[in-house]
Amino acid sequence: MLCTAKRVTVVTALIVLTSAAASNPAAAQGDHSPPNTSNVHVLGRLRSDGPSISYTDIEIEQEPSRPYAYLSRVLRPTFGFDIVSLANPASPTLLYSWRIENPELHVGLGAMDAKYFKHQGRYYIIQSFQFAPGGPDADLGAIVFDVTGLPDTSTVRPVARIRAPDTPGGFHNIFAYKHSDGRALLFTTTNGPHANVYDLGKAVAGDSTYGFVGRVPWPSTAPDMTPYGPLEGYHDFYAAYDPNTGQDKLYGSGFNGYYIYDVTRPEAPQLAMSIVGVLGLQIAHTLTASPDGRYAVGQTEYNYSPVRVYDLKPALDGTTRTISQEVGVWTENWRGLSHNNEMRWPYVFVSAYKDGIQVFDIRDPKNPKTVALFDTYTGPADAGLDMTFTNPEGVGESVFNGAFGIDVRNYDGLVVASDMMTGLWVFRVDDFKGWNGKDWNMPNISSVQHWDAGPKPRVVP
Amino acid sequence: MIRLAALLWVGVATTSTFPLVPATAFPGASGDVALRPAWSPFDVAVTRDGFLVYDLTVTVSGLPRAEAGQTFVAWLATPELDRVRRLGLVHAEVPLTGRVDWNQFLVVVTLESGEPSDRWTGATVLMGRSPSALIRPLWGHSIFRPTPF
Repeated sequence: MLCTAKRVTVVTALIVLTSAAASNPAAAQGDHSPPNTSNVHVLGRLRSDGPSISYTDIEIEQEPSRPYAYLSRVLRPTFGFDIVSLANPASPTLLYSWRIENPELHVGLGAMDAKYFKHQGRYYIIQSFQFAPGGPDADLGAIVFDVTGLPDTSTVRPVARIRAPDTPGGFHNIFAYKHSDGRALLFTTTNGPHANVYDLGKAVAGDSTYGFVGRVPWPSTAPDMTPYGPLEGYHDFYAAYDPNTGQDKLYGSGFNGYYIYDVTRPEAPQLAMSIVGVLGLQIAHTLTASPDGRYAVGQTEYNYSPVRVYDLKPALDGTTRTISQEVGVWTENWRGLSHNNEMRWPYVFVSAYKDGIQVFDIRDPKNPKTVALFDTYTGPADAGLDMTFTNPEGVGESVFNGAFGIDVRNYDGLVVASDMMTGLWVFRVDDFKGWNGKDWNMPNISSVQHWDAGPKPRVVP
Repeated sequence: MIRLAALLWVGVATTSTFPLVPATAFPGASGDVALRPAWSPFDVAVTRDGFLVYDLTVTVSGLPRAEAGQTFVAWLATPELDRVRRLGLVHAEVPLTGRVDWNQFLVVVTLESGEPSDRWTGATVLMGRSPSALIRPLWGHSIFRPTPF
């Protein structure tokens, strides 16, 4: 294992393409990106080592005593993740970097998505990986690290390597969920027409199947013909407890549609409803839900496509099992594309690639309103991830660049984003001092899990 | 008859080469691996299990100066790294020959210190993949094609 522990106190390298953008201002994304709003304040930044394009998703811990963020890293030789201390948000500090063994021999993107969880008093980070055949670890989906001892980085250690040899190519996205039955579960994408579910408690205890619980089917019957080619299976997840029905629900983005499963018994998932046949929807990429499960926000990840807001009430009422029309749409740049979102009702925090981060308000779901904008991307408009993987700096021509991931710390409202080129950004948004659903007459449910207490226990009739 | 076969083999056996690319920390290093079907009186050299046998020649250049006690070592490995075989010490511009009978393999040059072992422990200096190792199934996910995240 190649582990490197580093302590760097600053914002190291500033931005790789600043000079390029300056030399070709006409090509800058800023031509089309909306201007920054004055209610967003940059508290701190950090970019460390690696190729020009190197950062993917970001995860932030939620307890005041643990000011840590995790940044996934892609492309050789930075396949791995970084741990950053936000004890002083104005000066993010790189505490630790973990890199895969023999990085030069690996093929593929590398580390994509990180999620943390807590189990029996210990803290863990799960890092997903995508490596291709032709090199090692094509069957590696994720590695679980014990990070309880932070900030003492000498205590960070891998405790489980989750492999899925029947669907090589790794896990693109993962979601860690505190189930109402008390288990810490992991939902993962795979390269097959299904999602995998793992019991993380068993995984860290050394279970030979990594705590494999079962599969969530992909209910479609044919690959989705997307702008990027045929795709099948799942791309992304959100999971949440539905207090109205007492069900645990998985919101799966399945390329040709969004599929919402009742996973109260994750061993036997039941399809509850689908969002399919939506006019103009070519990739179901990401879906999150309002705390009460009534509304969902979907993203598509291709140009000229807005964020869509869906009202799930007809399906929740049993009137239909299929939603085929949005009730609202939102975009600040019709030429651009967005990637991921974190919902903190009524606000939706968006990472929007070359447009940076965006915040909009869906308290009136039919008329979403812009709240805040900040462009983290400073490079040329056409510079993006080299999809041929031949450029050592990772730079080619594609739409995939800029703000990749975003996360929100509920107790104080700190917003963090990962930009593929410019690295970590730490923000404050005026008047957003934290989030608790009760302040909005909503259940206190978001992507943030209540690892100690879990969701409100189900009422068994 | 065997001599005739040998002459015929020399005439028809083709050599293919693949490059050794440097690791980030060794940008000046370069090299290549020449593959040639191993000679056999039976036209095609195979193992008892039926795997094709190749002779290979590793040639490197641009290696940095090794410190005392350090050596550059060439290795064969399967893409999954579940099998590793030591080929031997390499020196700049001095061809190193070996034999391989794996369907897909990597050639790795590492910078080693200490006693020889059966698996590398030092930094990777150069790495190349056999042409057969470039063949990959297309599983229909973004990583394998120019498709989105």
